[in-house]
Amino acid sequence: VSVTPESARVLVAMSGGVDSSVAAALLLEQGYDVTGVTLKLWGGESDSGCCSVSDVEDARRVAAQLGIPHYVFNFTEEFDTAVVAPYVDAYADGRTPNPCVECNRSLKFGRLLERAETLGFDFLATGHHARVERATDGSVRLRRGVDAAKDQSYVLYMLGPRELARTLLPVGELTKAEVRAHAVRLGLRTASKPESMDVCFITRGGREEFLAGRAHVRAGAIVDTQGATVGAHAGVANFTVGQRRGLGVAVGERRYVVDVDAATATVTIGRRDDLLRDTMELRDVVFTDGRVSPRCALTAQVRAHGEPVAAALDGTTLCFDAPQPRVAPGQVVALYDDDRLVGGGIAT
Amino acid sequence: LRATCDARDADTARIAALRDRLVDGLRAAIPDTFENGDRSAKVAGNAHVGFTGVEAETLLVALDQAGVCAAAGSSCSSGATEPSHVLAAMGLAHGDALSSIRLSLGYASTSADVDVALEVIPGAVTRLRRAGAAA
Repeated sequence: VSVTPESARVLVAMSGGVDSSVAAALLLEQGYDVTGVTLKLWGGESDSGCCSVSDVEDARRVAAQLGIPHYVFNFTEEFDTAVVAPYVDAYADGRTPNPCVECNRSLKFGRLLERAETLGFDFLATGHHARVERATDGSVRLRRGVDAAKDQSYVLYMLGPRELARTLLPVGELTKAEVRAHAVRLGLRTASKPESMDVCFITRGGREEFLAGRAHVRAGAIVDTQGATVGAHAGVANFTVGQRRGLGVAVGERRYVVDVDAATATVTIGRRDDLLRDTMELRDVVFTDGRVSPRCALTAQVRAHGEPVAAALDGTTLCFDAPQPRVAPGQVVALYDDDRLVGGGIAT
Repeated sequence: LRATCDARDADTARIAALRDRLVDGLRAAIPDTFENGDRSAKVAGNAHVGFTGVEAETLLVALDQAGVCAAAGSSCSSGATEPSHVLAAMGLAHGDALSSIRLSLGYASTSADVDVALEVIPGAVTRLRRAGAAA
């Protein structure tokens, strides 16, 4: 599919936030035939973060202002199956999940992209801060967004050539300030809307309360790296490898969670040095270009807004140039060549 | 009010005839089409049909783009479609409920409207089924 605005039909996923509002407006200005869609993802109590009733209303009003059709797709069942249930299972299993990544993988660039294709749309667009680079040879790569502080390529690490060929990310070319300036220029109601920060389905009571209502919480022991019991905890789901706060253990120097063993409900704590690793194993490794091969001279990003660190990938083993604090199992590790996404995997 | 009351029986019969032609036409034109509800036990303007294997939400968009307004399930405050608890209570399988749409006819509906629907809907259903099979 060539990227020419002339008559190309784009379905824009509008969350009701400023980025996707501006994405829709810019595509319209560029001459695309634009239709907006908002996903209803969560029928639970939270309804606060993104994709709540008021956000759907914001998206609908922006679409009306732009004069584009707008639809709402109810993906609550799929969201529960593909995002919420695995999230609960992961914490219960001592892992640290990445629900936004799973939502992008299964819903936005899964079910929604499928529907867009079924309905004959040429492209799916979102308000993510990342850039789709189309080379003259037809290859498509994902690059970091222009605004380094807002870059979201990490949560799109799973996009392969098939998805990228169908994807437009117009605000990735802009800084957040420029996005807001466009929203003001266009008089969009979402211009000064605050950013959503938290996991969208978590209620005010927070993660621990949410998990307590859904997962089997098993109390257990907190031990040091020698195996000596130093305390007790109410459930492994409340702990993440690397965590320092809320351990409930008073010892001389700072202690971190260095391991979570769900099978025995044991949380191991230690010094920062005990977290350092030269290598780590990844599972479900994917490559943006679809080719599987060892990669050298990469940078690895192990959290949504973390600093990238130098590494090389050999099979499923990631080797760091300098030892790094252990990455919590379940977290996404995104791999880059300069600012181009190479692929990624899940920490084990 | 009296004019409305006087015309009611005739209107109801006319609307029911349009509805019957619409539903019969769809069933004749599209394989694996089923009808929900008993015609003699529901309002004359209710045409409720399902197309096996087709997602109603997707079909509604395709129909809207072609100028045919339809609905599915019940709308919640966000405007999203919720699976109909009525269809569930009527014993319809979950998948069939999610493949069902509601075409509403009223006193302003004309024979020409039914012609348009009969022209648009079979093509849209066929297209979505083909795209779904290819995906």
